[in-house]
Amino acid sequence: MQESILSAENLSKVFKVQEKESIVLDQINVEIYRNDFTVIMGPSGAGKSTLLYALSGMDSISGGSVKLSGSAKELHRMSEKEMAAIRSERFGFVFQQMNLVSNLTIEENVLVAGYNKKEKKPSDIKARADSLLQQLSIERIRDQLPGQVSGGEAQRAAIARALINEPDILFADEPTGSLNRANTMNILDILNVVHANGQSILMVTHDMKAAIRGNRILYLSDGKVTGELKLPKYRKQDEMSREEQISVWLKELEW
Amino acid sequence: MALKIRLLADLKRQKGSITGIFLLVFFAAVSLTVAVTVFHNSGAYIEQEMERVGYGTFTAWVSGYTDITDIQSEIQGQDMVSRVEVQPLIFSGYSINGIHSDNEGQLIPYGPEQYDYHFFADSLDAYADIQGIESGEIYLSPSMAEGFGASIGDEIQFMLGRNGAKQFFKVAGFFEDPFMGSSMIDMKSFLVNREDYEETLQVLNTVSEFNRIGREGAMLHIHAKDPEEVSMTELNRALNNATRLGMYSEMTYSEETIHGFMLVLQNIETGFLIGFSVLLLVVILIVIQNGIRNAMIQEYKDIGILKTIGCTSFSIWMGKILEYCLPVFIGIITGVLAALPILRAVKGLTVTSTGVLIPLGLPSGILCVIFLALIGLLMLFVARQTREVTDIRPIQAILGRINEMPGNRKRNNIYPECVGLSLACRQLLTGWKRYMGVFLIMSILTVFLSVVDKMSDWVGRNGEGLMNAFSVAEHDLGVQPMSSDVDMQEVAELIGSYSAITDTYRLAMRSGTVNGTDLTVNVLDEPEWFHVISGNTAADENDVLVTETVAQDLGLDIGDEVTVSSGGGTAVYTVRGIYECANEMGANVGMSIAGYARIADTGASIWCTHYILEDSSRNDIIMEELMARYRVSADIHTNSWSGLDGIVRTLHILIFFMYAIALFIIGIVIVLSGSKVLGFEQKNLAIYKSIGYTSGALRVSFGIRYGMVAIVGTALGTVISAFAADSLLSALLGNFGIGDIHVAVRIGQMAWTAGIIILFVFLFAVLASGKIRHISVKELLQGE
Repeated sequence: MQESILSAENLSKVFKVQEKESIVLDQINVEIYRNDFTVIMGPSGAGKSTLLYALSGMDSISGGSVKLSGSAKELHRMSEKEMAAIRSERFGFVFQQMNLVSNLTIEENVLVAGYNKKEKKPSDIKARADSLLQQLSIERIRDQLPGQVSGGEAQRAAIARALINEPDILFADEPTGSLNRANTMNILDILNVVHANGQSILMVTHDMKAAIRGNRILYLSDGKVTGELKLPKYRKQDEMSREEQISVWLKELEW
Repeated sequence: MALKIRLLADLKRQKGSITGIFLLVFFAAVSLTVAVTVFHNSGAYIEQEMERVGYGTFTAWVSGYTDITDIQSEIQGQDMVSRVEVQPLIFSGYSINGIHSDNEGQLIPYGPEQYDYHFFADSLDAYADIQGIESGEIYLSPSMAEGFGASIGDEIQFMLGRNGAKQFFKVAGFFEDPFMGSSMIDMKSFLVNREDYEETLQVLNTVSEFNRIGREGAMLHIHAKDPEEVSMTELNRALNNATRLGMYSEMTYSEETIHGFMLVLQNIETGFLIGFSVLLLVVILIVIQNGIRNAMIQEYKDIGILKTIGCTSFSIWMGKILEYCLPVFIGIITGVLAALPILRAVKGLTVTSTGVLIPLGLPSGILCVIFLALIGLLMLFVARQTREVTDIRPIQAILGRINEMPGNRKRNNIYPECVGLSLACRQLLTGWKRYMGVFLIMSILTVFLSVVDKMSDWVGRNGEGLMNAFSVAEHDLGVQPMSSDVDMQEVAELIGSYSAITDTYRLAMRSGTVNGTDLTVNVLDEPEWFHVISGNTAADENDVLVTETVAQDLGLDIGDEVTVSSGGGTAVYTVRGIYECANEMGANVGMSIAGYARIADTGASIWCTHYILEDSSRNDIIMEELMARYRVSADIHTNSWSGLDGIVRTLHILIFFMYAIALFIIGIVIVLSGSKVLGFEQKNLAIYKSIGYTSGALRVSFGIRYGMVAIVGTALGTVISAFAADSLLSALLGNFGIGDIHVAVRIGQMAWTAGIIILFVFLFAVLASGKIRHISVKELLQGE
C-alpha cells in the first residue's frame, strides 16, 4: 500500500472569460504517492499545467480540495504565511524557464532558498548546497550569475535550489521544454537519480522522452484524468520498451 | 491618428509616472503662482498705496519745532526737493484692553481730501466704504488685532501726561496703513476725526511741559525733484546740512526702506515658496529622467516593432515628448487655477500680519514668461532624454535584450542571519542606477529641511532669534527711566524677586548722522554685547561699528573714517568692525560710552538698562509688575514687539508646511520609483515567493532597500547642509538686514531630520510595495 502525499478530491478549475465559463479541471480525484515519479501527460489544452498549479497550491481552485499529508488544513485554505512555509519546507519547484534570481550567483540562488528554512543551521545548509552543486556538476560555476551560464547549467541550479530543503515533493513543469537534446537528457538523468534516492516527483510534460522517466503516468484529457499507467522504476536499458509501452497506451487513449 | 493611438496607449502604460509628474508640476505651479503673485502684487500695491496716501521720496517724523511751516518752506527751498507735505500727528503712549504698548503710537487726524486711507470691512477680507469717522471713534491697523487682541468696541487709552491726562477712544474698525500696518513695525498709526484730534491736542497743551509724555509732531513727506538721480543718502545729507531738519527729526525713512519694512514678511514667505518651487523643479527633472529611462527599457522592444511597421523615428520621438510634456502642460494650467482660492486664503490670513490686503489679480505677463520658460526647459529636457528612440534599430530591439545584466562588480555576501537586509544590499549594488534619482532627491530634501530647521532654530520658539537680530544686543527686559523718581536699585530688586539677574548692561539709542546721513547711534556701556560679524568691537573711544547695510549704503569698510554727529556734537571715528542689528532695516551704527562721550552728553536720562534673566519665562509677569509701578515714569519693554507672536506663528506654520510638503514629495517619489522597480523585479519577486518567502518579508526587504538609499542620500545632504545651510539662510534673509546667520550645528536636530526622511522613505516604500502581495508564483509558469 503506497503512502499518499497529495490527494485531490473533486478538484475543479473554471475560467470565466466575458461571462463564458470554461471548465479546465473537471472534478478530478487523484492521489500522488510518496517515492513515485508521477508524470502528467495529455494534449495541449488538456489542463496539465493547471492541474500542477492546483495540486501545488500555486493557483486558486474553483471547487473540491487538495490535501497534503501531515497537514490539517486543505492547501487552498491556508494563509499566505502557511503556504510560504509549505513552499519553503515541503515543496520544491522546477520550471521550464529556469527562473533564477538574476543578481544572485548560482550558489546564492541555492542558499537563499535554504536560509529561508529557519530551523536549519546555516552551516548545514551550506554543506547541503555544496553537496548538491557537486552532485549536479555545477560546482565550478557556483560564483557565476545566471546570465553567465548555459541553459542546462541554469536548470541544474534550479533543481539544486528546489532540493536544498529536502522537499516532500518536487514539482516540475516542463523542465526540459527550453533545453537542447543533450541538456534535456542530462536533466532527466538527474531527476531519475534524485528519484532513485527517494525523492517524490510530479512532472508535467508532453515529451515522450521525458515521460518514460516516470513510474506512473496520468493521462489528462478535457479536464479529467482518463488514464493511468504504472511502470517499473526507470532503467536506461528499458528505454525502448517503455517508450513502446507508453505509445500503445496513448494510442488506446486516442492521443 | 496613429500618433494619438500610440500616445493614449503610452499614457495608459506609464500612468504612474505621468500622474506623479502631473502632481509635482501641479504643486510647483501652485507654489510659483502664489509666490510670484504675492511678491509682485504686494510690492506693487505697497508702492501704489504709499504714493496714494502721500509718502514722499523720504519721510521725516519731526517734533519739538515751534512752527512747522518754516521748516517746510526751508526744505522746499532746496534744489533737490520738489515739494514737502506736512501731515500732523500726536505721538503718545497707549494701552488697549489694559495692555500697555511698549512703543508710542501716532494719532492722525483723518482728512480724506489729502490722505485718503482705505478702511477694512469687519471681516478684514475686503474694504468698507467709510464716509467719515465719528467723534470718539478710532481706527487702527489690523496687525493690532493680532498683537493686542483688539476688536471693534474695545477702548484705547492715550496717555498724554504724567498728571493723568488721557484721551479715550472706542475702536470702530481697522484701516490700511501702507507703512505702519505691518507686524514688523512697532510704531502704530491711529485714525481719529479732526475734531477729536484737535481736542486731544488741547488736552496735551494743558499739561505742563515737565509732565507731558505725549507730544505734537508731524510727518514731513519730502518729494525729490528727480528721485531717480538722487539717492536717499545724498538727499538726507544735503537737507541735514542745509536745513534745520536734523534738529527736529526723530526718525527718517526713505520710500525704499518703508517698502522693505512692509515687505519683510511677504518676502521671507515668498522666498521660501520660491525655494520650494526650485526644489520641486529639480525633483521633477529627476523624476522625468528616471521615468523616461525606465520606460525606454520597458518599451524597447515595442519601439522596434513600431519601426518595423513603418513608424518613423521622428514620429515616435515626438510621441514620447508629447507623452511627458502633456502632464507638464496640464499640471501648470490646473496649478495656476488652483492657486486662485489659495491666494484668496493667503490674502485673508496675512492681513493681520502684513496690515494690507494683497490684491488677487495674477501678474499674467510675469507668470506667462515664467511658465513658458519652464515649459521650454522641460520640453528640451524631455527631448534630450528621449532622443535615444531615434537610435533604436528595429531588429536589434526585437531580438536583443536591453535588460541590464548585473555586472561583475563587487557584491555583498548573503548572510543567513539577515537575508532580507543582504538581499536589499544586493539589489542596490547591482541596480544602483535605478536608485540614483531617489538618492539625489533625498540629498536635496535633507538640505532643504536643514535650512528650514535652521530657520526654525534661529527664529526660536518665541521668536528670540528674530528679536535678537533686530535688537542691538540680547536681553530679556529693558527699563529706561523717564524721570528721576525711578530708583534703578529698586527696579533691580523687583526684577530679582522673580528671577535672578545674570547680567546687565546699558544701551542708549540716539538719533544722529553718519557722514551726514540720518542713522540711529547705538551706544553700549559694555560694547562686547554688540553682535560683531567681522572685525572687532568698538572698544576704544575712536571706534565705531557699522551694519552691513550701512557699510554698503555709505561705501564703508573696516578701517575707514566716518564723521558721526549726535546730541549736538561731531567727531571722526574709525570703523572697527561690522555688526548685526536689523533694526531700522540695518540703518544704525554702534559705539562705546567713551566714544559717544566725545560728541554728546551721556547723562543718566538717555540710558535703558537691559537685564538678562536666569528664568526668561518670567519676562511678561515682571513687565506687568514694573508697568504697574512705573507706568508713566519709565519705558519698560521685553525683547519682543507686538506683532512678534503673529510673525512667529506665521513662520512656524510655514515650517510645518515645508515639512508636510517634503513628506509629500517623498511619498510621490517613492511610489513612482517603487512601482517602476517592482515592474522590473516582478519575476524575481515571484521566484522568492516560490521558494517560500512571504510578501511581508519581501516588502520589508524592499523598504530596507529604499531606507538604505535614504540613509546615503541624507548623509550627503547632512554634510552639505552642515557647510551650506547657514549661508543659504543668510542669503535668504540678507535682504532684510539679517545677513549673517550662524546657528550652531545640532547633531540631534540633524539626526532627527535625516531620521524622519529615512523613516518615511522606508514606510512609503513598504506601502508602495503592496503590489508584491498580488504577485503570483504563476508568473513563473508556462501556461497552456
